[in-house]
Amino acid sequence: MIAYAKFEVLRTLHNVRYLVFVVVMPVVFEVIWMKQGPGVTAAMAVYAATGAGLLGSGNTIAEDRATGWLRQLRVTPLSDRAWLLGKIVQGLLTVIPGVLAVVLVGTFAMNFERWPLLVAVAVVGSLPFVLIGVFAGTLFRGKTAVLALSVLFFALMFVGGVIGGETIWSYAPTYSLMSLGQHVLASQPIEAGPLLNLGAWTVLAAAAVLLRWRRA
Amino acid sequence: METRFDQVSYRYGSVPALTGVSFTVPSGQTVALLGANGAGKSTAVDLLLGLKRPRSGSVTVLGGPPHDAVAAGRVGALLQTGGLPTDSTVHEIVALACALYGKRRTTAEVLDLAGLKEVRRRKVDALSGGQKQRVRFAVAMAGEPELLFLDEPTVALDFKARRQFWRSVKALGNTVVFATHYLDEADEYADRVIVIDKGQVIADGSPAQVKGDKSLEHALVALTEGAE
Repeated sequence: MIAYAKFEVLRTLHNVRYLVFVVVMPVVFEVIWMKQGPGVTAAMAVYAATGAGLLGSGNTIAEDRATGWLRQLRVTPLSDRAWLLGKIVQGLLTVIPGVLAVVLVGTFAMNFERWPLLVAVAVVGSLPFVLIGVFAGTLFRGKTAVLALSVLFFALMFVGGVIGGETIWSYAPTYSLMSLGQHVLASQPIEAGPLLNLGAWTVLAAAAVLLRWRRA
Repeated sequence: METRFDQVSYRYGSVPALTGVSFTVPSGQTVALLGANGAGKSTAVDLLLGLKRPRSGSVTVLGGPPHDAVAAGRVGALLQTGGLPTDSTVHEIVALACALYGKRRTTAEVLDLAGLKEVRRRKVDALSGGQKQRVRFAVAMAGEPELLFLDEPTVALDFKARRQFWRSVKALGNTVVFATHYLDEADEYADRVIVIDKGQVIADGSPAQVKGDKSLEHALVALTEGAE
């Protein structure tokens, strides 16, 4: 599983679209809006975590189903479980570059003391997005998955108040993750509400993956 | 240990793909499954690899269920529909394949055997069709399999590349089952030819026996013409 996860991480890092969309863009947005305060760093960390989480694994699963690489893997000793675990680990690891870049840029400008905790919270908090990405990858093939995940990404950004200014739906996982990030940067204790909400999203997404993954 | 198809039937919905097919592949033999497109060859390979389950009959690979042989890394496969990840380099793909098998060749050894040393740093989307096929072959033989399944392995290759490919396969000395619609390929490289037509075995013997069977003339002419 480790060899497979390593292979998939390298593959993602070769992908220019990934680097532009979930590493460069949130950093650029942060630099543009940084004057508005620390909340922008938390929001852009959520942008990077959500984007990489949803698209990192989901895209490649859909692509592999369409091209036949998944069939080829099925006739190697890589077990179905190791494949699934490898995809989840890949999703979590590919969240790190974007989140780290955003948080380091914010820390350079605003001197955050608890920046390592923000990185940890954003990476661990991306788990439900990774699972949603895996589910979508097993549901859609090829470009359809890219489209579906891109629409979902912008919808979650918007309803969670990460972009657009106002929070429309406070149960959105993006809102909960941003709320946790803001509390970390403000050196305030982490509240139970956002944690529970993210936990519930994780359980739901995991259930969806378990129902669907063997049919991929 | 034997690989065996015993009265195997498979259908896609109401369309039969294989009907009561039986054959045995002894260790060390190179067996061609010869037939036109849609004859049922790829379905047979999928069943041998455990990618499909027979509706009736049984499939045994190296003395056990296909899935066990695959999970133990005892078989290698080059699939007609097996794609490659375009963002990865040749070296990364071959290194992964080597890592997935317990009993394994080194990455450098596999790259060398498959003739991929020169292009090992290239991404898949920068390779020619023939080079991609060699990467698929490298993945198939990375684990030193006892049994190789090759589904239309030379379909995208020119004459010279086909000869090189078969030289590499023969050098491995494995038991090989390959599906092809090229009569000349079956004739030249197989020890035994199983002709499949409309999901049924219509002939099973040495290349000379099959070519000399007058009752197969019509089917073989169709294959020769189809390949041209």
